[in-house]
Amino acid sequence: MGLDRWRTVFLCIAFLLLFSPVARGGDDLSDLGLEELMQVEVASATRRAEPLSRIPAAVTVLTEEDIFRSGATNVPEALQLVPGVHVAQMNTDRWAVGVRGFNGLLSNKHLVLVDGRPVTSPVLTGVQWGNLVPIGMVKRIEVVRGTRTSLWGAESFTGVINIITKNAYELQGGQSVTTAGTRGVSQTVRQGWETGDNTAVAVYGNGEYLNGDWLSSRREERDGHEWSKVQGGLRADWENAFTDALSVQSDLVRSATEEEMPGGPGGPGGPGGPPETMSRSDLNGYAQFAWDRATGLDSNLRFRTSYTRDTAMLADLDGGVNVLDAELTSAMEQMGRHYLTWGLGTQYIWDDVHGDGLEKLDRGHIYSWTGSSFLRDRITLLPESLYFIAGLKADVLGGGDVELQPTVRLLHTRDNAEYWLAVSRGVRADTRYQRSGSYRINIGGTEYQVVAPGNLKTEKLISYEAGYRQALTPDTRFDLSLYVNDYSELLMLTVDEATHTARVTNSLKGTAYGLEAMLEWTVADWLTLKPSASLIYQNIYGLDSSPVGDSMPEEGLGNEMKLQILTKPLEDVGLDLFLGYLDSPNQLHLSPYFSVEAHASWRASDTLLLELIGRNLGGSHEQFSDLAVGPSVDCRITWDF
Amino acid sequence: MGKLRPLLIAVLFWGLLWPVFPVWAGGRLTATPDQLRALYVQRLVKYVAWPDGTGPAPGQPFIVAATDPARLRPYFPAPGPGKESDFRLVRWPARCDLLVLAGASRREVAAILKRVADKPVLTITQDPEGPALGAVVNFYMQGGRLKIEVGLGAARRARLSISSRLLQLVRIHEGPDRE
Repeated sequence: MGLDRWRTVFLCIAFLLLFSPVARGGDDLSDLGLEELMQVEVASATRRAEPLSRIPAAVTVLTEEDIFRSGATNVPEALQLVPGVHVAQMNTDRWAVGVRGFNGLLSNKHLVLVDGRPVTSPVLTGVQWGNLVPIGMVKRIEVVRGTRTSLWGAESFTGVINIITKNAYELQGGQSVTTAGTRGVSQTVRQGWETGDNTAVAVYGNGEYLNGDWLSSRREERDGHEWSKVQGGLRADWENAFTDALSVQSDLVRSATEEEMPGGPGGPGGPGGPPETMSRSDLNGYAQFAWDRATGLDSNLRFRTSYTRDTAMLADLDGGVNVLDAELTSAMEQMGRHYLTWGLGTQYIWDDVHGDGLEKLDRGHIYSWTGSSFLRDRITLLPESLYFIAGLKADVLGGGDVELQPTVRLLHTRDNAEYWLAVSRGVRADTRYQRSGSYRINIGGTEYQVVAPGNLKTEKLISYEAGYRQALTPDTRFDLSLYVNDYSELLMLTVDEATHTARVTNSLKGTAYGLEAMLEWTVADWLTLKPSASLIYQNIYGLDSSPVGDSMPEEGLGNEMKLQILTKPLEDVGLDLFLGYLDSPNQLHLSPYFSVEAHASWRASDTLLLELIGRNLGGSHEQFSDLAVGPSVDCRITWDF
Repeated sequence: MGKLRPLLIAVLFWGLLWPVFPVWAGGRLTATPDQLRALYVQRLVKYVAWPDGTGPAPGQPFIVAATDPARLRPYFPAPGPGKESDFRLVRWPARCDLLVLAGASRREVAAILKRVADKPVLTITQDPEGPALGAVVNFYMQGGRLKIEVGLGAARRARLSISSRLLQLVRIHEGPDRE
């Protein structure tokens, strides 16, 4: 187009602008009086992504919509959307979920909370993902990658997964969710009532049966185990519409299975013990009470206490763990430059875990008490622009030892961008299982007798992190995190070839270098793209071969590329695709694989939602164990009544 | 067709610019909720008298605290060179003459209102429970427009005098406060 035509374009634009409201009166509203303002119509807000919370850490929040569009039928399936979180299915109800390089059935390097209640087993450090609340009850999942020990317990070594469920007000009315397909069937029913001006109650029940047929070993000598559960729960909330909110929650779940379990802490897929077939019937449950008083803007005083009974079964170990905990936390309203947060917490744990021989477990620590406190201050260096955050957590561990875990962070916010730096120290206490000995494991075809270790020290981590987030346009958000994790005194099994014995020791040292990047781009009203990548290189010092133990890092590069394509071709129809290239960071002997998952939804009416969910459509792959995970198709019908 | 192309491109540019500004659409004036709230705040001070010794000193600006000042800031006039604006917008908590509690949760609003209840602060909420919680002014939607409700009890406790002209224009809340 020539210069003359451009001139014509500019003239046309100028002419049109003359008749536009901008040219007509500038800011028309600025001269209006109060009465005239009352006649102004409120325009609906433009489509604009909400800004991320100004947190100086690598945070990803999965909303209810994110979870729905992923077609997830349980929490681990939803977590695989998050860059830096490694998710692999190990058996019908068994998942390995890890953060930043550590992964295993007993992923003991991060903390999992449900409404603030720790659900990571204090004895075995694994999570029974199948026994958590039905996915439809989950409101959002907050994933903090990196050391956040200044806020949570000594378990939050590499991250925190906080699952927030819907309160009773959000569960009003009735709903039935039926899922059926090649994996099995599931039925959830819930009903909620407002029982007064400021109170609401909701109850739910869930029955589920999974056949395990989509899991098979390469030699097809066995499939995944059958698994079933029956679950019921209650939630009551009371808000006095002034400053206080009270909530009571409880849940009871019985699950049953017959499964092959590996022996020893080596874990499945790795150099663990010989598999054993065991029947299992678990009865787990919890009750929780929380009181929250708003004391001002972004400030509160909160008390939470809970009792949790969790089955702790692995290999020939059986029994249960009881956890009674209480915590008092407070975010104080900003005082000048300071924004203080503090907390006190305590946990009392006792268990009845036993094996074939009672000498197998450390009997000296059936009862344990831990206490913790933290103080954090966000200091405003430049208003609305630069903040310095300093935090310190003190943990009194089971043996009376005190561990200090400090963190310092710097946050700079500018327009729609946030830049942050952090240096943190974290520790991880050993478990009763790791302190135990006198069991046999199989490593590379050789039997070893594990003997009880001497005094174990805490595992240590110094973490250096940097991050950058920006809303590049109203429709595009970018999030980048970089980290260097320096580990020392990590627990591993040290084997003695001469005596054929093994012992847990604090002898693993290494460094992990990583990057996580995520883009969210709303291309059009009907199309959103969410590509993400996570890369990690782990350097292990002083070892000739991979370390032995569960959730061990491995030397080398691991990477995961993910792409979510969310489309809405029609107002009531959604077609969503998840593509992944997944290369485990600590099971390097397993080949990387492509994952394809699809989700189609149709809201047939205001009360009826139909979904078709396809998982692992790219073929059958060993994700983390010698059981390959194959394709499956499920249909889900949600009916609101 | 070639001659029409410049006009089409111009219309395209004009179409892109159109939604950016508040517009007279078919004779109706529209604005975003934040813009309206900010403009109301600036108008309301003309209808309210603060007790002697309180409020801004002559020549000094009204201090408007807000729970989310960034949303209101684009609609407050910026101070010019050598000239101070009539309003200074700050983030709560801060000493203030007006307090805008939009965007905070109801329990946070209740806690903040409790703290300033006896102080000469014109508190402004947008919550059906706002007047009952002790707000002097509450915004509510009616017919797609933002309207005003005044809590007389809260105004008395704050020792603020509301002009009769304003009381003619707004809905009055005289119900009991929730404690």
